[in-house]
Amino acid sequence: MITTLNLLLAEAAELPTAVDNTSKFFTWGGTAIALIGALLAVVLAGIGSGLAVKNVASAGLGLLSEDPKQFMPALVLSLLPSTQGIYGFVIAFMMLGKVTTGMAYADGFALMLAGLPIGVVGLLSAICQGKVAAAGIQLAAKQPKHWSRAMILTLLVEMFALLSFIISIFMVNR
Amino acid sequence: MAVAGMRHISCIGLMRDKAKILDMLQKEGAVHFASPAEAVLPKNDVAEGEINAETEDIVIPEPESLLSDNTAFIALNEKRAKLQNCIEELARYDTRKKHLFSFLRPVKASEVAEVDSRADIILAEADKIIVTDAAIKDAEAEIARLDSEILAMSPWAALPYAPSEYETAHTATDFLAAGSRKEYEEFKAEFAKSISPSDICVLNEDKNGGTVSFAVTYLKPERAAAEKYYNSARVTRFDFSAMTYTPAARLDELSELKQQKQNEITELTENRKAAAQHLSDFEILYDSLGMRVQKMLADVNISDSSVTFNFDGWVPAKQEKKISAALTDEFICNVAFRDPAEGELPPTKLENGILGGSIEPVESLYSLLQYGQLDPSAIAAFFYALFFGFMFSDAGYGILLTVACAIILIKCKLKASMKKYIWLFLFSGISTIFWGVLFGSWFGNVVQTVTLGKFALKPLWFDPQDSVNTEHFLAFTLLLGVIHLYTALAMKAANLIAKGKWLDAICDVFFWYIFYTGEILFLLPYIPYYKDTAFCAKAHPYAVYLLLAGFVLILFTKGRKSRNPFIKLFGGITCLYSLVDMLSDCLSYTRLMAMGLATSVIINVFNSIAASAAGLDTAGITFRFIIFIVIFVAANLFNFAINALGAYVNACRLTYIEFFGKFYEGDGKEYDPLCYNTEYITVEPGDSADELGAVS
Repeated sequence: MITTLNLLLAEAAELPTAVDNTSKFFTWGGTAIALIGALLAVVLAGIGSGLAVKNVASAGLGLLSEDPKQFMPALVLSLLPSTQGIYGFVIAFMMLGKVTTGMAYADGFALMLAGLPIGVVGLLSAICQGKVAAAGIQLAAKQPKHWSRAMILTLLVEMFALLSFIISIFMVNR
Repeated sequence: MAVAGMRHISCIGLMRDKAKILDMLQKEGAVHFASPAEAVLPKNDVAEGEINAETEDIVIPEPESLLSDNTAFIALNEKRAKLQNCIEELARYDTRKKHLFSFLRPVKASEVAEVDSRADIILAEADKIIVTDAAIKDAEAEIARLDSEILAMSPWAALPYAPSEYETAHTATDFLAAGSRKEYEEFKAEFAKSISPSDICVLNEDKNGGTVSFAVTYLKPERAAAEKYYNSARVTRFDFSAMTYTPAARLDELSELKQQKQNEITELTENRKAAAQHLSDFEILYDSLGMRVQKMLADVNISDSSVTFNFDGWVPAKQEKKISAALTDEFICNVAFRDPAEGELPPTKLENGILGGSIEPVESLYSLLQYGQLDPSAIAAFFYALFFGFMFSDAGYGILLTVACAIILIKCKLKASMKKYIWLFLFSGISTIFWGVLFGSWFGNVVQTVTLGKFALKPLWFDPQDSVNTEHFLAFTLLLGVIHLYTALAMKAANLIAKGKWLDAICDVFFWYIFYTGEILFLLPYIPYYKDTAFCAKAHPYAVYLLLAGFVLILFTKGRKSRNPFIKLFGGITCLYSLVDMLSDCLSYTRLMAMGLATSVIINVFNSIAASAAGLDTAGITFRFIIFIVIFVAANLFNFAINALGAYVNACRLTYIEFFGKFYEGDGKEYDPLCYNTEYITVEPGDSADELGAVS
């Protein structure tokens, strides 16, 4: 990833400054737009996971303050909505592998679109999953023996992020 | 791989032997006492869809609730609570060798009896610890109180005289505080204007622009006006009128008091450290009292008369002879055994080998299998490990997991359920190595990274990260899903056949196989990778016939148990919806691909970050290599933890919803025999096992 970025920067620095702006955009615009797609994938999904984990982990701390032995349910339920962020990261990384210097505008745009499924669905599904997981923490507080059911129900939400993730993979590898 | 066969036991014995018989049964640990309420009202075999109002109402009371007003029971539990409190308090001063995983300490029965005989002394010791604990808490609260007083007093430390001395015959002095410099300035300007003559003197100002503490002096007749003004302005007034000593003297006094309390805490903590030597006694006594509690709970199910007692219960068929002999050889008892009657629900005891047993804790989180069902543990464990490995899919991680589990199993004496979990992860680790080798992932591409691409470990099968293989990878996960789902259906058929319901097995499973196979073949041309195979081209034309045949067969058989003629004929129409169910079940297995890719992609990312941060590609100096190793280890530990959790959770989901959802009949009754159910120790029969009973 880092080598790709370094390469892009190095080549951009060597561009002749006198090239007219419009043609510069169509020669280089594809690269920029593809990078925006990678950015959207990792940033949107990351924001979703961050918000969700924040909510669940705070609820988890509440649970722990009552009953310190419930660390396992609190940990597992807090970590569940973090997968969207990971999916976004994986897609962004795969996209960076495909970004080349001087990409055509259309190619870059197509690559950018590949980041959107996991970016958008990751953002929203992580937030929703966070809500379910936080409710799961409540369940763990009242029914410590049955917290695994909360875990399973929380996973139902993740299914949709998974489907988007797979479509994103196919779009990147198209 | 089985659910242990149970035999019903009813026993009548003499009251004079009752205590000894209970001790003996607890030592044998095989008899599950049944509540008399269950025996009087056996559960009828309720046909599907019909709810028997009578059986619905049977509420078998919890033994604990029956003993809620038994003073001996309450006293025992209070003692145990006290001991547990002490054990938890003292745990941090425990100097004994500690293990990462909880384990039970083996203790000789004679030692337990000896501790039992000293119960009063040990409980007195526990009382002392509780008193010490309360004293420490009091001292801590007192320190917190002193701290807040010190905080309140310190701004006035500059006053040279006691505040009460500032009051003269004609002037009054008040001590005030404003929230900030700005508020103080506002107050000062207004105050000087409205009350004159007056004087304001700042005594202390918070360095960060916070509270300003000051004193105002004015003529006594103005007092009412001044007080009125304080209320309207944003200042706090301190009433020091009774303070006949200087604030500085008070501060010295306070810090001295605080020091005293701190010394007190240090001393008490030392005491507590010394008390940690009793920890072993506390643990033994706690468990020993626990055994008495268990006997009392079992006793709830025993009916007594003046001379005899009798109880009903369940014994695993294998232990029938042993229990029978133990009861009749030594005691005057009438014991009768029989098979479970129609409609009775014996408790479930799973008897599995290492593979099947490993998944029992995961199963128990779902629901306990009902007695009479075939135990799917071994098959479920196989698939669990297979899927876990597929999602973790790195040979390096697999080796780490396997070796760690093996070491724990060899080195630590674990609780039974923990041991099973570790076995499950050991199998999952082996499966992880298997998939890692197939996909060529050894800590990702670390070999390639370190050798700067000169050398790479080739996958035995294919590299899932290569974009050429994406479709193949996805298609393979769907295939695994179909195998898993078909196995679940086969389990359903096996259960029906075991009960002799051949017709149900054919109608409810075999026809569905035809139907689903038709669906899968029909969809094959739309599934990546498989659509290009020769098999697809050959099989696809037959899909429609299979689908239709399956549909017709199900349409006319699904409603066969209903009395409603319309449902009898067309009840099967709802099977069309099952097509969607099957599809979504299969798609659920794409998580295998997602998690698998996530693990390996992230390792590679970390590897390349570590390599470029260390500058491996510039020169192979040892120092750079050390930086690489540090980043590599930290990043991989993180990835290992988060992906192991992901694999665990998702493998659970596939087992619970996709696999168990098809056939598993849960809500079984837990086999909970009267035994030495302990938390800290295991009782070793040792030299004089009988002493245990004698004391308790």
